[in-house]
Amino acid sequence: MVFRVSEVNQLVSGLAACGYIAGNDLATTLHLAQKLERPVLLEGDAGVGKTAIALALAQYRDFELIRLQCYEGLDSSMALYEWNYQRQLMTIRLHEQSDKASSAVEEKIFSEEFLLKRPLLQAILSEQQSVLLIDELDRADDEFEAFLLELLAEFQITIPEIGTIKAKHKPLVVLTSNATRDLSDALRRRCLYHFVDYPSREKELQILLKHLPLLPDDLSKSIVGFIQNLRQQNLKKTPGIAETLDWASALLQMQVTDLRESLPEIESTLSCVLKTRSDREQVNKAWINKVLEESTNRVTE
Amino acid sequence: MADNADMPHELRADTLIASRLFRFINLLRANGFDLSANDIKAAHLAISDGALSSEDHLQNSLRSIFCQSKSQWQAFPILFRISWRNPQTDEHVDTDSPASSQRESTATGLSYFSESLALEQTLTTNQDTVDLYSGGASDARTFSERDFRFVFNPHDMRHIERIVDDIARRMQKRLRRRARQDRNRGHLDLRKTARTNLRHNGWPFDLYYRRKQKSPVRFLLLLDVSQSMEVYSYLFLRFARGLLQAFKDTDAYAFHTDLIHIGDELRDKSTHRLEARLKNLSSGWLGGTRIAVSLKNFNQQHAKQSVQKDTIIVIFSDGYDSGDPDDLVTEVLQLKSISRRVVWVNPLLGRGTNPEPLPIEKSLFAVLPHLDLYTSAHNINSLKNLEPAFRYR
Repeated sequence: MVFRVSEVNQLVSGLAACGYIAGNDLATTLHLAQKLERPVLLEGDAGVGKTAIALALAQYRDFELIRLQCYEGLDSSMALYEWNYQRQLMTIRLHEQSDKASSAVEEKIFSEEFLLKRPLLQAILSEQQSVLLIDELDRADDEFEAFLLELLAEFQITIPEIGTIKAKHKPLVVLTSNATRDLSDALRRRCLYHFVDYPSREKELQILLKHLPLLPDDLSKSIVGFIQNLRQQNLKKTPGIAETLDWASALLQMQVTDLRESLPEIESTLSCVLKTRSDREQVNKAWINKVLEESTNRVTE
Repeated sequence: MADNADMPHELRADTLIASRLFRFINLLRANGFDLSANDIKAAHLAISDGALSSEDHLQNSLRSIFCQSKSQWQAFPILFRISWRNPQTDEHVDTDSPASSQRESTATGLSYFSESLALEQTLTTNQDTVDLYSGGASDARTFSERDFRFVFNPHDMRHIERIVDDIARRMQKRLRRRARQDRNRGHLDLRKTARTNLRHNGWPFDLYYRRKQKSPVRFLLLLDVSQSMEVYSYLFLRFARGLLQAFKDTDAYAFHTDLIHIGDELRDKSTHRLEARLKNLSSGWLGGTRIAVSLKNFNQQHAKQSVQKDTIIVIFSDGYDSGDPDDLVTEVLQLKSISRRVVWVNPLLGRGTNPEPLPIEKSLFAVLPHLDLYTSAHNINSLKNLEPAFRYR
């Protein structure tokens, strides 16, 4: 392994070119992950850009992105492989009248051709290196996590009817978690860890300008100031970067140029930012004015 | 280092870095970081191959290798600063300094919910204060059996907090596993499979399974936060927080002379926000207790939306009630009639030692025959043994 600071800097600018503004810390983690061949566990609140990291990384490295979305009840048949039962049955029927030996039919229906490849198997069989994104792992059950441990350790799987398949190229694995449940220590130990926090004012401004270059400078500063202040409020769901981008493009569509003079527009578009009923109920003109005033003061400071 | 005087410069530098890294690893371990040989090997590789080129890169590399959770991620920069910028600090720390003793004295009771403060207070900067090499089982046993009221040291409190969080997590794992085993007991629904596959001439192309539906585990936690429960209420709140975050259908109320809904607050993942929200709610906490009145209030106003037939109600209280015992019995019976089980957790129960058990409060004595389970939770061991109270079958 050769650790080059210039490579980290290159990764920062490469990710920026793919639309992701990463800090040196994140770039170092991603760089180490590739050099050490260890998975990266990204933890953070919803909407801070964890998934976007994997997308940008795949784009920058020009790797295929294979995504596995986790949910409660996810099992190996949905994550790894499943036999195409209907097709197998159909083949058996087709060969009912033929003279073919039953052993030949059996061999045929349990061949790779009849395998439904799910994301994990796809990553293992991939002809070129890929980025394997295992999204929202905390939603999956503990058993699936344990199963994943084995896979991440060896990058090979055994299908009883076929045999052991070893990965041709070890994929770059990115796991994300919103921390709705605690992941096991065993899994954490095998991963490099990075906590993705809400961005700083400067970073959020860069992100906004990167994604919405037509946004006037003053307006983007006010939007970021407003959102940053909103995150300090007592909200049930703190707005993430995705919400900032949605809100900014809504304001851009409504041709808003100055937040302080656009109270009705702010009120009507805040649904892009506030996503729960109790948060919406807090909002009235006085509340918006208060948040606006506080954010203006902070920008001035 | 005198022995290294004849070594080539590069080798001396390597030895120095290795020893700094070793000290840093010890410091991290003393602060609860679980570091494996693989992590250390990875750190060595990163350091020897260029991560030392700048302090930022070194910190970023070691942070991603050594951290495994958000709390470690947040604590890491402080520990890194202590160890790498000022290597002498971890050799000479004045633990008896006025500042440190003052900090210890302020961090008691509910103020521990200030996790950020507690984090800084309890980070171990001195390796000498932590016995890394000895004191295994017997110390751990004593610690597990120590009553919570005798925990004065912030470091011990932080350790207990971690265990309490862990108990809630383990409980979730076990209970969810049981629920899943039930759920997996599905079998082929022959009737539906046969009927649906008539269109395929009876060939079973589409399979249907019948799964036993099991209702999720539901808990309702009622926590006494009055003066008499001061030493325990913080840890029970912490435990309740773990349960609320682990089980979706769980709700919590705190009571003293009045009843307050704290479910939304405890479910908040941000400790800073939780702290602020609890502060707003905590006027009147650590005052007197009116259990019967609080339970009556709950039965009349909140029971319908918070309790279902399969809910397990757990009351954390010492039973000191200024009201009439009969009123308390009436309210507990009412709770029992609408739920699956009523459990009373009394931390004072564990205080009674042989030969004389601690006398039980009159109100609690009247309620005892009507409870499904009456148990204690005054130390780590008894908290771990609470699991039967949370079994849903």
